[in-house]
Amino acid sequence: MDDAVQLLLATGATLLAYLAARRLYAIVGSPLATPVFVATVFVMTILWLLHLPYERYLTGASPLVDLLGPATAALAIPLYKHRKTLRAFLLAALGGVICGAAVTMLTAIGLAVLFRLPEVVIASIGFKSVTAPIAAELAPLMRGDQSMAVTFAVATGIFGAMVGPSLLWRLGVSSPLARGLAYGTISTGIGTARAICEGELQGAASATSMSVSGMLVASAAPHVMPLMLHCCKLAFGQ
Amino acid sequence: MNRLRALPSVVLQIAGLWAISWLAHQLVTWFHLPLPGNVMALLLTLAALGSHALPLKAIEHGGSFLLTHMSLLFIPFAAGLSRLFPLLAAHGLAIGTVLIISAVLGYAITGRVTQAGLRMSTRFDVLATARHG
Repeated sequence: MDDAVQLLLATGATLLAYLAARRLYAIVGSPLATPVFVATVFVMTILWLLHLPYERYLTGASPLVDLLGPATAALAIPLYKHRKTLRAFLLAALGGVICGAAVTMLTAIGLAVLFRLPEVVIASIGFKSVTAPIAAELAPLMRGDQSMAVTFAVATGIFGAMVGPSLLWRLGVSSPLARGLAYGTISTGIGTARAICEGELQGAASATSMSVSGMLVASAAPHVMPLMLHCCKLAFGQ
Repeated sequence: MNRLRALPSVVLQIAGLWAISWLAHQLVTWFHLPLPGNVMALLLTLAALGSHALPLKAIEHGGSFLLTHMSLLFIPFAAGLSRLFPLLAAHGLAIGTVLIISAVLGYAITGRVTQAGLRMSTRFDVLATARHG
């Protein structure tokens, strides 16, 4: 009985917070009002006001977490739909995504080591450009923290949606395909939402690159990340 | 009205995707695969679509619904940030700097490398046609 109430309250409150946040975003329209960000603040405020422990809330919200599996499976859809465009530009696209994902991960880990951030932060910040459902699974495997990895991913998404468009123009990136790939590889889901506003090809490229880079990082991280950490620590004499 | 009529198929298709994801997680456990279960679910779905074992139609509605509302699904994890406030307060500036620099570099590299690759491949195409001509 208690469990059922907990389930209903936690899931229901999250759903309401999300719907309200989406309504707000429709009115405001700024990337700072990104629904996931606003809804998360809502939920945290409720927990804080009611003095509810986070662990109890997470147990109650488990139906939502359980849907992350099917949602990640659904990432195959954009990849499959745009396979022809992708195959036509396979080398350029794959090269861009691999280099971008590797560089962003390496600089994140390197700087985190340089700034002597705690181990758990270093292990989580490496996944800040991995789509949240995959980051949430990867971070604990590498002794990082789920919440931290997801938060860093959301923050990177919001940052990308805010400055990405003008940043890419300033960098001379004008090809729609290249712009889309950059949004998806670095700012994943939130970046894709922004890319769709720019054009259909940008949106498709973004959705595809977040699937591809997520898969690549997930399969490479267990082997590459300890090495990256080791090298960074050696380089900075730690 | 239209959205209501689509609801049963959306729910059924999500159940289908859930079954694929369940199978993927089982495969990872059985064979001790070095991949997160969710990534395996993505690969499995892609393989099923690519081999035409699974028609796109069978999961498109449910899948698009999940993709549209994916951010709802990670609010429970993001809310766990409240546990980490002391840590973030102590290192907030450094973390912000790391996130911004790595993102800007990531944008630059992804965009520029792709563009350079595109330019090279068109040049090669032009060369190839010139030779044939």
